[in-house]
Amino acid sequence: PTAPVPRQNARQLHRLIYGAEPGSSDGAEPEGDTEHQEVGGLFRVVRAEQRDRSGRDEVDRTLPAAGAANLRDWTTEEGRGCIADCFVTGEWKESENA
Amino acid sequence: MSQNKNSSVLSYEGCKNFRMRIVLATLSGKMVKIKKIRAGNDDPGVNESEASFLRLMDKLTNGTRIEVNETGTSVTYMPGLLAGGRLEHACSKQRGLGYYLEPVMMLAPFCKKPLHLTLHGVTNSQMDPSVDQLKHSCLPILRRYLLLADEQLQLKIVRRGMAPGGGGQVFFTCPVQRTLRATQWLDPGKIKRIRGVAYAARVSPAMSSRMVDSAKAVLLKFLPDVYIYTDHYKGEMAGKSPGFGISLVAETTTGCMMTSDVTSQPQGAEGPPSVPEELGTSAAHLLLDEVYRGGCVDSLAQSMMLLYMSLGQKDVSKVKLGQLTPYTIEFLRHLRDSFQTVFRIENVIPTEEEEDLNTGGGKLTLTCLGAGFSNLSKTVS
Repeated sequence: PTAPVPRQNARQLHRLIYGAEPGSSDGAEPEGDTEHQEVGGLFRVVRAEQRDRSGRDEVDRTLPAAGAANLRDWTTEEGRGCIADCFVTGEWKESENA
Repeated sequence: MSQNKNSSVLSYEGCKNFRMRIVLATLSGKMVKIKKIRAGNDDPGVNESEASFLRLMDKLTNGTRIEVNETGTSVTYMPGLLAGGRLEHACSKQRGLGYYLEPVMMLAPFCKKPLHLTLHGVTNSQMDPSVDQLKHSCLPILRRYLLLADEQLQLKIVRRGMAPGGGGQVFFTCPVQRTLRATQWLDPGKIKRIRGVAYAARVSPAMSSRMVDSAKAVLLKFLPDVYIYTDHYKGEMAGKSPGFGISLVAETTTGCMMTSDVTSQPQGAEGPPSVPEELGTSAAHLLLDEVYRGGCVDSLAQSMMLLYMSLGQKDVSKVKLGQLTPYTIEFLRHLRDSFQTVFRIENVIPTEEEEDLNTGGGKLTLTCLGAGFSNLSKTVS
């Protein structure tokens, strides 16, 4: 069974898009210089966990990676039922029915 | 996102959303500075595909200045004018041609001269939308906006090329447009037919028919009108690496398109090799995901649709969409940075007669006022 899909709420979505968001470069990023190890006084060692906390270097791809679970289990009767009326073979609105 | 005090300069950090930043800077004529590109990585700075994309932008425009620092971690892009014309570009094989074509399709109508672009590279990759998918998802939207564009608007796969060897070739032509109309697109209609193409390059042609059979097994439970073409490529036309894949499109009574696309594991990649039956089933299931999400355009075309809406005449445009993808959400933020367009987002509340219908997930309507963008470089004939 697939997990229920969270419905995008318009108001929350608006806040998510246009409001201040963690991960956007709005907030001042803590530099944490004290944590860096000094090497020869000039160079700093960047540890793996310090890299890319902001997600600013995420891969630029239009569609999310495949392999994620499908929105519904399309092999079951129940899964098929929830989109049955998206097709011409499904039920039509009263007003559209000839 | 971070807005510089000087409103004619956009500044960002990191390689995320690289292409949309360049595209929107070009359209708005604003300079964009991107810093800290993979700054903490072992392999810092812009990669091969981003550099290849910047070179393509340089060919597409006149007077563009691109400055990349020594380490490649910061890029300053001062857009010139979109020139268009007859161009050819060999794209990096790290990414599929969809990576390059998608931003080009966004810009093409605003060139000075009609674009005739030949691209070389990987036509179908696992990471990027395939050329087939762009053709069925984004091209119909362009066609809606470009009047009298039948003959001149074309996207053709001349040769197929699979990762990692590539060797594919596509041809894209697009006419120019001065202004875009405001549109209201609210009726997704009902799906009347499903089409698709299953292709095999440098592998047995039986791969295609095996994919077709398994995809049809899923889709025929919804609709009798399912037809998937098989396309086998041989010799020069097949590119340099073996592979196969399937691309599906569901068309509605009102002309909306929902697409899905899967491609086999590239040669030499880790993990088990792809099984055609599994690819076919997975493509069908992904198509049903798109149907469930619904709306007037599929998730691939969301950002393109919203771009054209925000560039439209100073009038209200409205579209019904399914759930927004993370990419679309980022795109909306960037649209505000470049054009100050803020969309109104509303949940669609089903009417009484719609309530009993099973039409998948919740839908949204997005409304905006066009920025009144006009293509000033278009030559008057």
